[in-house]
Amino acid sequence: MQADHQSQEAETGRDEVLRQARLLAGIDRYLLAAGVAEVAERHRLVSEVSLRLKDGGTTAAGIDWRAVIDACDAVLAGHHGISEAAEMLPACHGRVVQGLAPDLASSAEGRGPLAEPCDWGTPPSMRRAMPAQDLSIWRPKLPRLAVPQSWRQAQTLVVALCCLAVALLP
Amino acid sequence: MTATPRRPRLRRIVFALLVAASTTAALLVLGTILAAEGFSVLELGILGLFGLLFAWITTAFWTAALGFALHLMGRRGQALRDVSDDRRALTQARQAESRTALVMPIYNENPQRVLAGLQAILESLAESDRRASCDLFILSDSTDPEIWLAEELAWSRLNRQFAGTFSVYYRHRPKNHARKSGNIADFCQSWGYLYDYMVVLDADSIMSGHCLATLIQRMDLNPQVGLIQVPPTPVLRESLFARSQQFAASVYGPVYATGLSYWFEGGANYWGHNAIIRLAPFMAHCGLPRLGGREPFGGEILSHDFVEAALLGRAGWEVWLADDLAGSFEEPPPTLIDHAKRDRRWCQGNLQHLRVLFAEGLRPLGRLHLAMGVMSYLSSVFWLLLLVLSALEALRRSRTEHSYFIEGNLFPNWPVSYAFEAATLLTITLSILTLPKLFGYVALFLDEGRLAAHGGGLKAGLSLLLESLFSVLLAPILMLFQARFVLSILAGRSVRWASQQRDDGETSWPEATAAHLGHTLLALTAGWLSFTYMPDFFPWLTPVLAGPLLAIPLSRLTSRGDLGRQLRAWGLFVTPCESDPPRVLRDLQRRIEKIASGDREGGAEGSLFERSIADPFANALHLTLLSREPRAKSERLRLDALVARLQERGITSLSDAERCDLLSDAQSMTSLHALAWRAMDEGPVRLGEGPVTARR
Repeated sequence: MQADHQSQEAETGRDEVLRQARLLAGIDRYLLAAGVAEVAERHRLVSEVSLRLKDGGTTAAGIDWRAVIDACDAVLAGHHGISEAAEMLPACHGRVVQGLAPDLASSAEGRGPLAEPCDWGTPPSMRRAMPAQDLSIWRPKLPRLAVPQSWRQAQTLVVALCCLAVALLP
Repeated sequence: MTATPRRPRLRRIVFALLVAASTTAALLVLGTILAAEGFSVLELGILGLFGLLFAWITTAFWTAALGFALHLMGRRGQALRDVSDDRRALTQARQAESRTALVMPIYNENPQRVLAGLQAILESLAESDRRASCDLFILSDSTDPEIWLAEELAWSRLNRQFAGTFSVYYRHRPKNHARKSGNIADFCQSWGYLYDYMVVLDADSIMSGHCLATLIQRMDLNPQVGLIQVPPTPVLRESLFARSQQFAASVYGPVYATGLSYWFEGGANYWGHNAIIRLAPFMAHCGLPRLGGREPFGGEILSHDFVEAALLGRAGWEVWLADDLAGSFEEPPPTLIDHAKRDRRWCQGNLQHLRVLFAEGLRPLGRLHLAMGVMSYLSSVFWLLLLVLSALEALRRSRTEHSYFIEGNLFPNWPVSYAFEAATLLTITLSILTLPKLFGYVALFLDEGRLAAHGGGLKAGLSLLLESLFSVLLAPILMLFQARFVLSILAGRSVRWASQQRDDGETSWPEATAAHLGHTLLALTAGWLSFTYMPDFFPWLTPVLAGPLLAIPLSRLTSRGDLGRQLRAWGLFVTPCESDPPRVLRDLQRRIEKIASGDREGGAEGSLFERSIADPFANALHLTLLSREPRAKSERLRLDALVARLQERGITSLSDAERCDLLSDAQSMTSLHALAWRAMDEGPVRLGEGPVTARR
């Protein structure tokens, strides 16, 4: 009886270890896919993610991948020092910075523009109206005939046509 | 705001008088010929149509003549350069402050080509002193999910490449409301407050850093100017059709542009891209309304550029054509059929301007530009009508015998020959059509370097002859295309606004036959009718019938890249952009060749949609660029159903529109990413070889 109980406990323990190992392997695979190529760095991040999952109450019984990805995002964001910008950026920004890290490290000025919210995607938007213009059809208005300037234009046109006629008709 | 000075007005009056005088003289000669036996209704129709068409070609002739005279005098783009030292000093301080946004609206374009173009532009701009004041916005309206995702990856690459030099932004609209003008308006409304100017680029636009910097400087120096358009030079195509167009634009274009610039001064037009715009007046005065009624005449304004220029003019802002600036390029359509497809869209946009032409308050020049746009398509219909009426008149004359004795008159009524007048009129018409080409050719000799870059005097001359032959053959085909477009639009048929063909795809025989069989049959019928019933008229008709008769082989042959390249090897149709390309073009060519040699974006297995779900980087990149918009409950349920369908039946069960719907929703993409990793964790699924982010 006791032996059965002991073997059951041992089996549970083994299962627990297996589940834990599977979780860690899953996190490791995810971080590798996210671009954390260096093994030592990845191991450190894996343990950070697993700690965060434990703190969040996630057990290895069944891997909640949404929680794992959120934890990876949080860890990567902290890793790249962009937690302060988190309010303006989506949580997964850490993953983007991780993906771009090799290029940024080799960029000429070593600037990390992607960690700055104002340089990402688009600048802050401020809606300002662009009023639709009136394109209604012009219709002649009688009062315009009383404006001397209209007459002057008409006179100019008549004079021009007369000159043309004199020049060409003969 | 400064009032339009007196001199430009005077020059426009002189110009109008020149056109009117030439047209009147031609009408008098034709009237004399036709009135020999009194005017019939048919003859009056011929006279009216001839007058309209003659005025149209004379406008182009006098523009080119003026441009040629200015080239001889060495005066190009003078007005905007001639700024007093005081004003220069006053604006010096402002120059450091002004900020410019380069905006490129795109709609289902090839992301690699867009990326290559932008890289070339930014690298050129990085060498100018204006780099600190410029940002780039890629404004995507793409509806193809694969193109959308490829654009994001291309943007991230561009962002990395120019980190620390330029800010490169990307914005995607899930629905392309109001097409390109709506896209630009959305930019203005959201980020226009940050910038003084915007430079609008098309997906195939290329502008050198020097050109951009000069444009910004001119805007700084001329606060009354609302827009400066730089004439784009067509480049980079290799088909015979495109190379002849490139040559024509390179030789005749500068003369014509100088004439236009001189004539219009501050009342020039906007061509939709390769232009710098002052944002504050543009936002205040260029919001486009939706026209009442249904398409094709109602709805959104399709060809927004002409209307925007007219609106700027109405508000008192000047619009200039910078004819003296080099470094502005675009790619022409590669084939005759692609040219016609583009024409179909432009035709609808321009005919829609009939609704705007008489809008309240527009300046005469604004109305003139709109009217010229309309006329550029209606002229084809008028030409066709003129041919039909002339044929009927010829038929009438062939059936009527001359009566030598008129009752009550003792003297015989001898037939009078008007051969001299007819020959004179024909010579004048042909001269008006060909002289602008000669002006362009002679202008080459004013600049030895330019002449040599076009292959030298002899080869440029041969190219001119060949190009003229192509024009004679292709003009009637384009006339038939345009006449059909106009009639179909008048019949109420609208057109889908698709993206332009931007690579050198050749026309196959079946494509050419499908597009031109009608032209060939029409030419055969018209030729047979005229030969049988109006044999005197037949020889006059042959130059017009030759093109449509040969349309199928012409369309096929002129689309061929190998013929274009062969002519280049012989030194024909050579342009400076081919013989001595500027650095920005060399850079672009190098990148395009690299793309062609198989350097594909990402190169990962599966579609980009799959990558955006499974790959942590692609997924995160996409999520960070999405705007978080709350969804209605019904919409949320629909999206959840799509996620479920994707899980059950795979990616192929979703249409492109459904993929776009999922891609537009952050929550769905987050869920799908987690689901994909759960699936990989539980099953033996492998995302290709090695880590999925290996290439991005």
